[in-house]
Amino acid sequence: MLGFHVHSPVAHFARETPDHPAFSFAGEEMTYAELDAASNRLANALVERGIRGQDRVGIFLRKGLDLGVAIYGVLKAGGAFVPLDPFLPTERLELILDDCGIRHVVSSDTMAAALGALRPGRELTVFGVSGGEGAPFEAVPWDAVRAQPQAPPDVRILDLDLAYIMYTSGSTGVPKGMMHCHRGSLAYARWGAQHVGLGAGDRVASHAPLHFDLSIFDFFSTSQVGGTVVLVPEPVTKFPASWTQTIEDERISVVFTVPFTLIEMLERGAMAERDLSSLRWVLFGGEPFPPKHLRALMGALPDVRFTNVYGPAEAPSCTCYDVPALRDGDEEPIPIGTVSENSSDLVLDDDDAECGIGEEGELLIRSTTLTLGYWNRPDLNERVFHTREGLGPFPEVYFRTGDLVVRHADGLLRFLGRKDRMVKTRGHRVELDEVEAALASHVGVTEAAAFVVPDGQGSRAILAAVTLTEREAPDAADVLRHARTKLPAYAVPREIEVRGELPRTTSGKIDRRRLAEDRTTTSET
Amino acid sequence: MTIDAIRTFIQTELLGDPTHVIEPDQDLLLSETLDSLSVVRLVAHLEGEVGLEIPPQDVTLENFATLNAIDAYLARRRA
Repeated sequence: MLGFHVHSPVAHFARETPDHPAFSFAGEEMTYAELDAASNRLANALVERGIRGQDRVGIFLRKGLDLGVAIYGVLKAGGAFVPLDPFLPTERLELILDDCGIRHVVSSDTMAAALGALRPGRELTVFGVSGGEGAPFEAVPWDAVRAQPQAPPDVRILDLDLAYIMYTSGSTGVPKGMMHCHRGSLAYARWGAQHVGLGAGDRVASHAPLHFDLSIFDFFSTSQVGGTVVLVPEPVTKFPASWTQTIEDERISVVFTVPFTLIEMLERGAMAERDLSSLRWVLFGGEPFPPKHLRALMGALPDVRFTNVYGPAEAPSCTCYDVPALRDGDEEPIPIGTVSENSSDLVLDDDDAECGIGEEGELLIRSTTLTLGYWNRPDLNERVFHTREGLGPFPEVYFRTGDLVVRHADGLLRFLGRKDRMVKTRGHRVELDEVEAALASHVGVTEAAAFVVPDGQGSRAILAAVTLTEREAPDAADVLRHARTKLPAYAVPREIEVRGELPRTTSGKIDRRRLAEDRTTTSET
Repeated sequence: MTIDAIRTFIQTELLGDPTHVIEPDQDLLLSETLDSLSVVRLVAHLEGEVGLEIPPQDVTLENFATLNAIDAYLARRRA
């Protein structure tokens, strides 16, 4: 029996298959026995430093073997881990630390420069760093962690307790944190393991960063079966030919990633030069996969199964579609399929009436995997849940995905687009309002408009146009530099155009559609 | 093509910021200085400037991680 918690499999497989690798990174492995012992020690260190049930603990690490120790160490201490993008600008990192009330972070010396840039005055203990004089936090080095006892701490954790909070782009310029409990995370992990038929022999890539919810499948579906997570170094993900080399060298069998990565792999991954015979299942999600690219990829990997996984991080993997052989010339968008096992769906119109076959409406999901809501955001929590009377005192709770869908007569759901201004670029969620807020926070900027255009790679690129104040006259590069200090790299516009004025719609709103059309036409001529 | 010329291209064309400091041994990828599409644009530019075709299997971390690595790769190709 595996137990009730996300971390339960670690101790289980440390007993059953102690020498089997739990993680592999750049040629080094960590066995389940080693992972169990190391994460127990970290958990003890966290408890000793005051971590109590459901306290939030930041994880500020690049890919590496210490990442697994950090995740499981926090969970075993009864804490909830909060992935912090290791490449976040300082100001945004501070926003999350403060919003989430994080007083403990697990990190490493390679992140020292970023941690050193934090404003002092915050109560903060950082584990895994050597520290040094004048650091704006108290340091607990790995040596001190390793001196802790190897037995797990005695803490009471319910599967209803918080397991992690994942931050994502928020429309007001402040990122929002989605709360997930052990039970929900486990339901997602078990769904993934079952759908793909994972086994101990599987080597599952951790390609997406930890703060991207695909990672929950990578880490926790794999540990459900005592398999091996292959951590892919960040720089490798930028070189398709290095990524395919990693699949070959590490004998990766399962990959869950965004279409963008797979299109790059197809176009520049030197696939013909590589032995990719270990690969058996590719799951993709985050944005639509253009059929012509998917067909080519399926042709290049004829023995691999492909699944389109749909679901916002608030309701991960709520629908999926196992892609059959695609016919030549068929450019119909790939369906998002049917609601996943152990979940149910509703398609509602603007008046919350159920839509019939062929009618467009918003997709709502009821599932154990649902978020418990946004941290510290009662305003959003009021809006995003839809309740229906239940049999007992508790209502049935549905999450409003904000995505427009239509169900066809074949029973399959098709994704049509967003209700609001959230866009996906290369799988990352970006609120265009937030990008505009960041640009407009530059003293020299009067107005900013962010919009997306096709990037020619099957995804979309964010561009922006700004007007400037008369007194300050920054140039586009200056505004871009400013944006880089406010936004994660993927949300920074690729280009910023300085304009005398912005085009307007008849109602006086900034005409972002026209801005996008202008750019699309220019690039075609 | 010199290291300085490559650096200038990255600064002006890929980052849109001529003042961005890039050291010869700085990991261009780890610091998020470049994303994968920037790598594609850089490769196309190098091919045009140097008059060499750079096959996909050569566009790897080993050959493109730093300015020095790019320089060494181009030198090998010219030899």
